[in-house]
Amino acid sequence: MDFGEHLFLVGGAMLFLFFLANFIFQRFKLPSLLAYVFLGMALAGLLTGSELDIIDQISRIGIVLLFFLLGLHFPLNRLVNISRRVWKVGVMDIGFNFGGSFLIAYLFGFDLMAALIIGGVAYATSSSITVKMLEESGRLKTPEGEFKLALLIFEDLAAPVMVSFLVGLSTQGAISAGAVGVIFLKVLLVTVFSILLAYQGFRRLDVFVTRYINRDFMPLLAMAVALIFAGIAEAMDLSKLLGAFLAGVMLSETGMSKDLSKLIVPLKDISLPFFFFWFGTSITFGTGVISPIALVVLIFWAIVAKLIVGFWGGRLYGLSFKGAVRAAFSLTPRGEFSVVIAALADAVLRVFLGIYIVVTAIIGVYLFRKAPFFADHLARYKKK
Amino acid sequence: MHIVIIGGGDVGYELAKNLKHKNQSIVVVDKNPATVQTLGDRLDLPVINGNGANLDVLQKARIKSAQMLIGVTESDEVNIIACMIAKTLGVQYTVARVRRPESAGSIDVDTRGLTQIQLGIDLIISPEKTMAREIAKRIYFPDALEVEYYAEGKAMHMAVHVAENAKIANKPLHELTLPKGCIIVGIKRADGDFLLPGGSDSFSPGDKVYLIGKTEIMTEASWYLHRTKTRINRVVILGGGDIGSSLATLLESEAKQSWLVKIIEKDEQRVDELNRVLSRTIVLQGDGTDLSYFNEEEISEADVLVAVTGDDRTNMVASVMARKLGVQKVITEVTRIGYAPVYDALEIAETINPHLITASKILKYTRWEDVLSLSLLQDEVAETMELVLPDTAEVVGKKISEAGFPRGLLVGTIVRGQKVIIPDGDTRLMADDHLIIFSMPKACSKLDRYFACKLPNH
Repeated sequence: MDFGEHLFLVGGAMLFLFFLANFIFQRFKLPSLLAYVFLGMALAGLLTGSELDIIDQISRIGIVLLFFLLGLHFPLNRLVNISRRVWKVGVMDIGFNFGGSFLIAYLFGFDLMAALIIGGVAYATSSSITVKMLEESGRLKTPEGEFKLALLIFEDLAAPVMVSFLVGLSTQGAISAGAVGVIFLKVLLVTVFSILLAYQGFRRLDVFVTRYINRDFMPLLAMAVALIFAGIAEAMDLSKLLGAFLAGVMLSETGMSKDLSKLIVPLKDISLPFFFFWFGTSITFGTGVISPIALVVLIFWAIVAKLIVGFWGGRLYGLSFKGAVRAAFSLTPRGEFSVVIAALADAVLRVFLGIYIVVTAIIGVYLFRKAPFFADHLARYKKK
Repeated sequence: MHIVIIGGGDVGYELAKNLKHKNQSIVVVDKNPATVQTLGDRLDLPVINGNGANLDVLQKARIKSAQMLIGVTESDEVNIIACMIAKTLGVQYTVARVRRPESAGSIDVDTRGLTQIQLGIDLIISPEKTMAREIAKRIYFPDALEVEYYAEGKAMHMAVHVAENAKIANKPLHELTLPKGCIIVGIKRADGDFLLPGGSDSFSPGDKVYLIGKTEIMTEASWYLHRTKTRINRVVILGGGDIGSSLATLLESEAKQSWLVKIIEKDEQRVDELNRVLSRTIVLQGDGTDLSYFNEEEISEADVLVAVTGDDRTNMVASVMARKLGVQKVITEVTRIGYAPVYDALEIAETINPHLITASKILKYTRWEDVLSLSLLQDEVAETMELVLPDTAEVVGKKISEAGFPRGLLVGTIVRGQKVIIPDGDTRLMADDHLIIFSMPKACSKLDRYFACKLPNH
């Protein structure tokens, strides 16, 4: 099948499959993103490298738009406000998830490099799965929704540093303090630049945006801002999601977040399924899983560590008891960032990590849906 | 003094009633004929029906012979225009209630380049900002029912309930030793009677006791009577309107405290606005009275709930809910004075009324130039005020016991330079003393006789 010749047919068929899978999953009250992931896993073998490349490109647009839309709800003041409260939790997250999983892997006899990669894969909660689940369950605007997003943003800031650290180690066997310092500087530079631009530029655009919000050129402006900033971040070897998020933050300073969201949501709804589909295709399966016991222990720890960070961190952040419990049960899914790190591993370890990611994603989605139920029951138990 | 009051609503009524007691010449202007009728009947005052921003109507109210105009209609514009006209016609003092003070200059708010002289307003009162300050004080002193600072915060008055387990209950006052540096100036009995206590009087549990004294010892004094020390960690504000956001800003600015402040606001757009303005407060979107989902859990973990949605009924429901969920301190905004019995029946003890607060702010201005601060007590039974004793005052150099103050007037505290003095009969009054006076309505009209303070322009 050549994508170039039958673009409409293949594209249309894929969208139809997405529609069908989503519809069926929703009928069974299952999260739609799992439908796309399963489709991706099932169809991975049928797609050629060039087709996967195209899907990859569309999927990037989807995930970039998801984070751009998220940024629209975070004016700078709010961002400063939450970052002040979330950094301790972020450090705790690194300690428990990266540190804890690294230690477990090392104790199970993995070599230092493999253990570090396992730690990296275990570290970050999947931003895309979490945000999509928050959206689907209508919990985006809850107190713990804000906390989870804050933690995800922290992870997105920390992740590029971690990736470069691990890439440095895996390719050269060593890491220079200078290289890590450069990444820190870049993150700082992009953030400061965005803040300045938001205050000096976008805040003054409010009259313009209000005047022309319903005109056909406004979606172009919004898309342009989202893609340019994601592109700049990517060009600087930072997370494109961070760039897109900051673009949303900047545009939110116009005070027109709600209207701007409406322009972008349909585009996101069409392109985002490609992301989860691509995620499904990117997971490597194979026979001969090394150390299944280690895998079980690591998956168990992946759940427990996020429970601890979610609950304890949530309370530190200022969440109510129930809010913190809901947060704790919503942080398990690992996703796209873990896939990137897993790609650094050798073929055997990649199979091991592929299973780890899929299992945590599925369990994570289940726990996410059940979080309010667990919270209610635990609160009742606590009262007694 | 001839005073024209524009607006016969709750604030206008309160002002007219108080000023009439003080033998001032009052004319009220209101555009609503029904209000005109009611006010005329209830207060026995001249009330003119018409628009307060209209020159003809103002002339009917004898604006040219007035020394003061007070604009307290619901409309900011009418209040401001009335003041501007009055100033042009030579009225010496103008006071306007302005809900959106950003549009006009004031000491308290951002002037945006306009001076008060340009606007022709001498005092601008923003009820919302004043309310926010009032609530903030109650959060700083959570066990007090009322709090007011004097002499740049060196002294204060406070009202607390006597607890069931207070050791001092039912003992005569002369047998009690309160912490040094404060004095009991009034007792309101549970049945509503108010008295200025003598040595033989005693407290009963449930009495509301008014204290005046040094700020630093008041928490200890409150413990003595109230027997509880409320620790505040979480403050939940229901309603992100002007009061809610001003309060959050004030609490954020308190660097010494580490309160976790949350606002629950219904309107999505307002939530976005608040997120852009506030830098430490957590802003949540939700219906304050909705028991489902997170409101209940947020409110149940709060140490203080402040219900300031702007709607009495919503505030009432939320406050009852908070009480039920065990919130230690509930502060409720009440806009209708007439609802007081309902609140009592619902055991909502701490209410705060924007009209009374606005009225007391304005009343200070209708007094003497030397009155620095004045507050009406919540029950409207008495006032406390701070004034500077001029060297021409009749009582300068006299001992308090020789001053011949009438019953119903008490000098609670004297601030002399940096020193805070709790006076007794032998304390001599000196020029430039800051006196914090507690006074019953009957005694108020006699104040100028003793302190020789002059009315503005008199």
